[in-house]
Amino acid sequence: MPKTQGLDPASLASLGRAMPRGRLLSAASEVAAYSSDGLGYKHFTPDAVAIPASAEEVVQLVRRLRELKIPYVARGAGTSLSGGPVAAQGGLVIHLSKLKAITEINAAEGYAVVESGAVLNHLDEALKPYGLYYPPDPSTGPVCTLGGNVASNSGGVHCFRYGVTSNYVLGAEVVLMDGTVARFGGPAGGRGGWSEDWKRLFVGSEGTLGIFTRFWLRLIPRPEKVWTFRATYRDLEQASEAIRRLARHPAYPAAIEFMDPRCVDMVENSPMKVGLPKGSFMILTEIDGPAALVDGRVESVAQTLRDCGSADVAFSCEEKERLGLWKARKAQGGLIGQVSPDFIVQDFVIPKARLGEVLHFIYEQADAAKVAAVTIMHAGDGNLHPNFLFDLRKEGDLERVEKIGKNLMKKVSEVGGTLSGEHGIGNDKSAYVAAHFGPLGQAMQMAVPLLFNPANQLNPLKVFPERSFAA
Amino acid sequence: MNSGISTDGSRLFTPFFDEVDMIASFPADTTLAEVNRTAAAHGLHFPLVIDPAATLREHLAAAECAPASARFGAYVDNLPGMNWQLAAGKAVRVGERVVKSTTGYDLFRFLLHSGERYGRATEYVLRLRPISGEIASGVFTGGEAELDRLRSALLASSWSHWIDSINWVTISGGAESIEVRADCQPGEEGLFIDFFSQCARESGAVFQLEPSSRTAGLPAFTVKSTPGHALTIARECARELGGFTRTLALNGLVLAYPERCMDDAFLAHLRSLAEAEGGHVFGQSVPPREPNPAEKAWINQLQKEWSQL
Repeated sequence: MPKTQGLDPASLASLGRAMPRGRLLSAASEVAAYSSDGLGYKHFTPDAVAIPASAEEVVQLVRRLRELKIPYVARGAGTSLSGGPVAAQGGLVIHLSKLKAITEINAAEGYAVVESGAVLNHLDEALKPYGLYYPPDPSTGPVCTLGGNVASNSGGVHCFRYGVTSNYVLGAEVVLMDGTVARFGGPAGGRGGWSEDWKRLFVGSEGTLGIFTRFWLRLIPRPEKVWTFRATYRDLEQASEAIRRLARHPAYPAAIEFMDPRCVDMVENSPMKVGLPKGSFMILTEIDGPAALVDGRVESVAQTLRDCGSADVAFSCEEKERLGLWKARKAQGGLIGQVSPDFIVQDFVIPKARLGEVLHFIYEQADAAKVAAVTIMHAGDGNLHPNFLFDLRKEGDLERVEKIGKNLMKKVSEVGGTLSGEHGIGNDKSAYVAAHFGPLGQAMQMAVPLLFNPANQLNPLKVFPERSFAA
Repeated sequence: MNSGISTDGSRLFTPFFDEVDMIASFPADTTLAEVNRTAAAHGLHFPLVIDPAATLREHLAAAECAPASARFGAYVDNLPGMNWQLAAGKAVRVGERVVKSTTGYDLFRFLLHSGERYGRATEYVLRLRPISGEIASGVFTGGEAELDRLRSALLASSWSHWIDSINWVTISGGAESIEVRADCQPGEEGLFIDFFSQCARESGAVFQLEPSSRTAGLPAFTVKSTPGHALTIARECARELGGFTRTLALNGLVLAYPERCMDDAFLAHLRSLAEAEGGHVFGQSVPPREPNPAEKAWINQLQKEWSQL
């Protein structure tokens, strides 16, 4: 679907009247930074970027855009890995970074009120003095915004026990496309003055139904003490058994992470090496809770890891040592960017019993295409992230990687998995959604944007490729 | 291995029990006692039980949380998917058989407690949990101030992650109490009892061991609010309607077991109290809330679109 024709001077002037001076960008040098997200290699340059500083300014913009029939998309920090917050048909990017306030922390009732552009880790810092905790923790926490987290139902490494973003959204304030402001839910996390629980459709809707301006988020007590464990295994059978036993362990780990041997070797061949045996599978797990309880569970978890065949189980509750145990896992993302000009981080969830079959399929596909692949996994949830390394400058490289992605998504649906666990569909995987849902499921899904965004003016071409905007 | 999903093009869930992922499908009219008998053979259980004799469908029509939601969360966070029969008759899969998903719009969470406006569930996929070895349970009694201090202490502690249920019980004309229950691993029962006893000492409440909380069937209705506000609502319900309430202290959900029927005026009053905080009134003995003007068009359109499938 081609871009719209761009903004004519009259439209630009009209938008300019809705924004204070300096907060509507249209020069090529200014809008270039908004042309892609964390997916990196797909570029869609917007015609302009507006930076509202309040929900009321968002309302004014949305009303103006409705009149002008210009496509638009909301964007936080742009760290999405699925090609979500980009102007796929041109038009306007609404950058919400100025709506960053944490307006209330209610410790007694266990909730926080935040604006949608608030940075995730800023919330975490604000909660520490209260002993409170907001568990979703995507790796982009230092920069990603809560609006982006809610739009893509973000997860992170501690989802296995604590759940994903949707488990913590009590309420959302949304600017709808007619310029009205709807509040779905609130501090209580119920329906509010609505007969249906509409917020459920908005969480994870990838910015296709409305623009988030504010959230009510559920908070829980911060765990008193955390123990981190790391173990390596010589084969997948041993590592899989460790994952199975940990998932059923009564200590109920908060995180169970996995790195495949190709990822371990990448780390060990780099300056970030930590001494893991090359060719091994690495398992990392964490337990937390009150010290009196969690300390008594440590040896049982360590023994579980040993019983599955690991001879190098290491564990600690000391912050510095825990960071050391995490080092290989945390380093891998940056290393991929250093060893390869381009890469795609895939994201899907499978039944854990199918791990061996799916990992073998990844290797088979990658090796046949001569594409390097390193895989990490939020193993408790069965949420795999194979990273495919390529070079856009080499002819045919991208096509090979995209073909692997297509085959992989088909495989994921076949084994009973789902196409995305925490990154969303965006425009990266939208081509595979119809096959995943089947004709009836797809038709049910497509009824949702008809309610809130029938012409697809807001974030067109995302999630479902049929969602194109015709001015 | 059975993928649990039909390959005939419909993508419906087919019967499965995945011991590794601790996920299984059950017909919607299975009782919780039957679910847990099946699960127990695999060392697992579904903890969100209010009345073992009631079916999954009845539970989901009666309440969004169960006492064990203090530890495990609401039903929506413990059922990843279901087969759904649309009002026009066709069956469709909604949700997934894996717990973590952000693929498409979350129709599952939208439909789970939506009544029968758009159709009805035929099978549910449940997330099961390992059976623990021991149970530490008991009851706190005391005056309102002592129990309030105790409630705050329980909810503020990271022990609350490991306590299955924290129920504030309000009996019409009677004293109030807080029931607690923790399913724990062998050897940990004493640690929980020590913690409960310490909380009692510090709050001025009295703690007594009791085997387990009483079951009272499904509630007539529920009120969702914030944890603190829910107690005010619970007391109003007990005072106005008799009977008793069990307030899920961490979830802010009042399970109401009244002696008398609620009239329209009191229902409207409860709704205004709950909705002011973004909550609601829900359940088997209350009529669904009338859609507000803004949402009438959305509901009509959804019904129209889905009736054509």
